[in-house]
Amino acid sequence: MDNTLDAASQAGKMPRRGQPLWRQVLRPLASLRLTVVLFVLSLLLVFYGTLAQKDQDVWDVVHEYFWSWGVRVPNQLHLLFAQVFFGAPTEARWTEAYLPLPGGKLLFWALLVNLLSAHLVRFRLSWQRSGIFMIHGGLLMMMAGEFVTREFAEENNMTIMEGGKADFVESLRFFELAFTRARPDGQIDTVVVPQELLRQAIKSGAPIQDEALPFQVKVLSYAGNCDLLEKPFPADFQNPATQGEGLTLRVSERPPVSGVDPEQRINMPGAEVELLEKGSGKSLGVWVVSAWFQLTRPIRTQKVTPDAPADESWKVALRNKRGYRSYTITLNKFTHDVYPGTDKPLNFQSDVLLQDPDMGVERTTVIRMNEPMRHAGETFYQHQALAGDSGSVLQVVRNPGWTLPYLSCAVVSLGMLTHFGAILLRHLRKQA
Amino acid sequence: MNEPEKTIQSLPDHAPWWTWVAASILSSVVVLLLVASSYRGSEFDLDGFGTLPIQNGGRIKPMDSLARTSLMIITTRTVYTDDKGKSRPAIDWLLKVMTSRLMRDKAPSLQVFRIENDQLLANLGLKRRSGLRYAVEEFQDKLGLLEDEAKRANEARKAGKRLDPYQTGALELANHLQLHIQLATFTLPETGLFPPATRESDSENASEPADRQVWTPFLLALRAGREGEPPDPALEIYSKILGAYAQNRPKDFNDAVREYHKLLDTRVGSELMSKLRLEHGYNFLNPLYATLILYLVVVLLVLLGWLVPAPALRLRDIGFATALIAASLHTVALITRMYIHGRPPVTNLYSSAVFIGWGCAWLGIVLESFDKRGAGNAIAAVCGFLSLLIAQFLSEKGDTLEMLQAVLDTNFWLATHVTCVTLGYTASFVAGFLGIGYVLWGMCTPTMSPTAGKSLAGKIYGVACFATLLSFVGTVLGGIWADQSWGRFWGWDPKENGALLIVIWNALILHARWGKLVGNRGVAALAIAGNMITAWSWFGTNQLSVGLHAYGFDQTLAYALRWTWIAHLLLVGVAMLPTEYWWSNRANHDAAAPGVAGNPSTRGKRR
Repeated sequence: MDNTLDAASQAGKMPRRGQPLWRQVLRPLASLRLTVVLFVLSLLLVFYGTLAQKDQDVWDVVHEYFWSWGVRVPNQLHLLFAQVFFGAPTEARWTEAYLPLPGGKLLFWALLVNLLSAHLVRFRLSWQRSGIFMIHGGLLMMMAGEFVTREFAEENNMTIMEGGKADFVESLRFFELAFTRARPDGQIDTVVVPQELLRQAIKSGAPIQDEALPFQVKVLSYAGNCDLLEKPFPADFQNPATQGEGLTLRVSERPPVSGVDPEQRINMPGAEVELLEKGSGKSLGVWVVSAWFQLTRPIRTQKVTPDAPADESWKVALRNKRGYRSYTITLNKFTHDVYPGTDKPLNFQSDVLLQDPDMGVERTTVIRMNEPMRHAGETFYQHQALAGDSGSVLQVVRNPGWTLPYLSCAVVSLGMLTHFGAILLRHLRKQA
Repeated sequence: MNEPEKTIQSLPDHAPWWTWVAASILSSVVVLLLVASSYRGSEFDLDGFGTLPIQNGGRIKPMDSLARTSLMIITTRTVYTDDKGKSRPAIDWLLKVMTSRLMRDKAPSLQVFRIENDQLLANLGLKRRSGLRYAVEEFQDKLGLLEDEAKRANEARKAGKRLDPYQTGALELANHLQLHIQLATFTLPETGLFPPATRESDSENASEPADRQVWTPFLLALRAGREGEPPDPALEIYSKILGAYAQNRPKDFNDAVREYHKLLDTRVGSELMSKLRLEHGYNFLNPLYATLILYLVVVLLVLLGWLVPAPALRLRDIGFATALIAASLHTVALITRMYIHGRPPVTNLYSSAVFIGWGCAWLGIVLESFDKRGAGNAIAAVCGFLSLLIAQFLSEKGDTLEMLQAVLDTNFWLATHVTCVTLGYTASFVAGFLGIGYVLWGMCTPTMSPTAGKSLAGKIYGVACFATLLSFVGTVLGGIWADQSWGRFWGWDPKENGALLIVIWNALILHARWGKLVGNRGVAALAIAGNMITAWSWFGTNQLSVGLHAYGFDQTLAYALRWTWIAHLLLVGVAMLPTEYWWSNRANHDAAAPGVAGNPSTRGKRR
């Protein structure tokens, strides 16, 4: 340890005696040494959180590394790094060991305490310091924005065929079992069972019932991600299905999809459900349902009451969880331009008509890459094209915190300009 | 301040006029020599042919650009050596390839295929020779073997296995052969040769400029003619051009080229043609290569200026003036590329290297004008040189003015976010190289006085401030772009994380200094480590997505990164050696009069 440093800390101790207790407590928490240590830990976390995405879903990584209190970084990541950059053999195996690191949440709170303590102990409000206050205030605002997004943002899809319209959005991550019945006046009665309830029903074994449904629903199995396999079935397979598609197709469970999956696939659940007559509990049959049927055009739905009159005829489907909206979006035209002479996409564009009777809105708009449409607290982004450019998939995002990053960016940038500008001026003055 | 006399003194503000004249003459000589060496006369109007347009990869480019990028891929140069040992331009090679089916023997006998792997050479029955370039006819009988090896290598790669150099070589050679065949048989994908003829007559199409339409590929035009449709005059003239070349009739060739140009004037419009001429001229003058050489000259001048005890020669002044000229040439090249491409400066890795070099050069020049000890100038020249060298290497991958994916097709965000982040990389690199300069100067020479060291460390600190600002703003702008294009401000994806690492690292440098946890030497060491992080963000994250499947070009990048990191780690290690071992520190001690208590500005720096 250097003499000068010791002298400095000695000098620092002198006036401390007369200080109030809270200052004495906060002083170590406010240390810049702690700040630097926390920065180093953050660097490590971000670095490993990047490496981990090589084999893991980005959502999992966010959950495990950035939105957690602590994380155990597997030694395997070091091997991965060595393989990509240092030519370690691909078949090498390293010992299973872990490097414990604080997670994003812990680091965030630690940095926050460190920052606030520093402001309480060290900084006095002054024009000279205004830049620092703006930088730190803006960063806090940015963190708040990230928190709001994480907690309250919703991401859904809206699929519209060219010339068609849609008044609901679909979740990519959540599913529901839907029973529908078309009424003569064109309205559709719908009863839905969310995926959590399906899982619960398997555990409890009790049938699900609803006043509107003429039958009870017993869930025999639920696979979060599956393939549908065609006949012939293996010899030892006892097909529980007695009706509909299940006679020729069976559900084969798969592990959930990984996030850096090159084909960006999504989970496709499947289930076996038995319908029971109300009262007697007599079985009406067992059906196989799956999200895969949503991909067929026209969408394959299965009648569950084939003998009932038309207006009493119920159909069943396992579909993406829907959210109905008060507005309707009509896809007037879908455009998919490529660079001339290539297949490389140049532009995806949806010309839409937005109608919202509640808000008295009726207007045509263009949605394309980098040019979203905003309406009723939601933002609509051009997301995908349907096969053969027959329609458009919009990503619909509701994020109450979307303005925060914009604001905080402006505040921090201004703060940095002020602060670094002041440093530069001081330096130039000294030189002069 | 009583500095030891040995230290490098700051130069007076105004250099004598003749140093500027000397720098101008020096630069002109360098540029002229380079241009003269790349000029190769021919009876054939190769420039006229090279300016002819072709639609390839979604953009209209001069034939010359196609020739250069293709030859660059195959042979890693833009010229080739003919059978008489004379160096010939790429467009001549392309013409030989395109006419090779008319003249059976010409193209296969050109020694252009670069094969580096010894084992592959042996298996193809070839002897190692200088340049490592071979003709198809030399290994024609082994093509079956090559195909098998390439197929096996490709399967191994798909199975996630790492390719050894032999497999990599086989796979690359097979790809290069395929490119050659595609050029020879007019089957290059995404390529059209003849602009549509409907420009004036068809009023509906007239509004659509020629570069927005799909051009007709050679074979399609040929087939249309055979099926009894009226032949496209463009095809007829083009055939004349190729025929005249194949039969070695320069006059007919030149006439046909002129005729074709006239036809083009009615089809593609003068604006596009003038852009093609500009790109052709740019290719020929190759200003970035001249800039690269000029930066090298500046490095030499600065070094000589430090080493040669003859201040009257004003070598460092001449070096500074030359650096200004080089950076101006760099600017002109950058703007020309932007004009041809119609895009902001950074659109791919190649252009990011060019831009980072440009930013480093000007930042170095600004630093030098504050304090003329040569450090800023050295940074400008070294960083400019290195990044253009990297660019030169990256250009081996293909067209450097390639078209962008749909989501990147926004000049606004390319101009703001990408430019800002890249400038953040630039500033971080400048800080890092200043750090390296600090360590080398202090460790390996006796001339770094305490004040000079302090001043240099102050520069590192200032540049780190600048880097923090730019990388932060750039990163957040990226978030806002993401919010604009898919509604997610921050997605923790590798590239975003890379930018975040740079922001945190720069913030760490600043906080460590404010907290007096590090002194001048510590700031230098941290800035050097910053280079490692910037290199990770620039190349490492891309490498991660290619990962274990990397081969050839990408594998070379991984090696380069590895050695960059190792070298920087060593430098950080050197920076952390106790000050007793620093030559400058010992020299300062000896210089200080006995009885004076130490040397405050270096003693305090031991933390």
